[in-house]
Amino acid sequence: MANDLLEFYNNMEVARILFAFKGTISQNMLTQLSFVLKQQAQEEPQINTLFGIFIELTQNVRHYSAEQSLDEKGNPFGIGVITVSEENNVYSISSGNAVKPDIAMRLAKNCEDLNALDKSALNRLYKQRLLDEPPEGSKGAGVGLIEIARRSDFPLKYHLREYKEGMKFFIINAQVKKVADSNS
Amino acid sequence: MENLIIESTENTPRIDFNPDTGNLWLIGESFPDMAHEFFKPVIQWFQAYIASTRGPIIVKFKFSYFNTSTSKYIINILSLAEGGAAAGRAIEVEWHYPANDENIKQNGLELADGFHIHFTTIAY
Repeated sequence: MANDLLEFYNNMEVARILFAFKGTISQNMLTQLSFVLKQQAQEEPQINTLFGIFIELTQNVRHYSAEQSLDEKGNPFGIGVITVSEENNVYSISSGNAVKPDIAMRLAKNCEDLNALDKSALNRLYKQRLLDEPPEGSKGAGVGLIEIARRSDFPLKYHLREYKEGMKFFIINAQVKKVADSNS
Repeated sequence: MENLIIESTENTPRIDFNPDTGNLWLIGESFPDMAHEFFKPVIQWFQAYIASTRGPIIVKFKFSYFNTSTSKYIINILSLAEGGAAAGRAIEVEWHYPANDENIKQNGLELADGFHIHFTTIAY
């Protein structure tokens, strides 16, 4: 790996990665990562939108990755990857983690369904789901994806890749324009 | 009733519920890992306060950021406030938002929409 580190570095440079993490998303790590992201993007007017998407994606990996490890308190929590990159006039936030095939198909359908809705329909669905779901016992994943969709400036992108042990690797990507659209 | 004071952390808000003044503050950033564990005592206190006292109540949200699992508890609090108001209690809800953050203001209005409560937005 030491030999390949320059190649790894150059790849990140080409992809304009501002921020990347791969590993177990413990609560402590989530808090630390959110702190780092805020430091890096504190001048950005869209920081709250970026931050909101980042938190929901990271909490998804934490609670729903099929690959798990033990966090600092000995609780099992998800392993995955999360990146924030720049692409011309947008910030691009992505997460990736292992999921069982049936969950992968459901997530893909969720993304498709949300992409078919406009902003006001997403806002109505968001509110409806908050009213419908009792808070107890739910970690909030369904609403989290709606939140990501309604905060994004473009449709959600997702990719399903073959992964080990019959699992899929599910990647979700959301994008935010760098400067707020004055019409939105 | 006793005051409910919970100091803020990196991902949970400060809770400052004063039973004598009726001022119930929730201040800061909110993205708890296990939202139900954090908000359970907050909700229970609020329910007991509505049930066991008579004075006016002002719930004061002052979030700089909150995640979706927090939204559910905001809805929960608004719903309890609506129930109290329907039973004749003087309950107001204030939504304090950063003056430069129109999104948080809009988020508050969306959450309160449909509830029969006295709801005002206040820039800070």
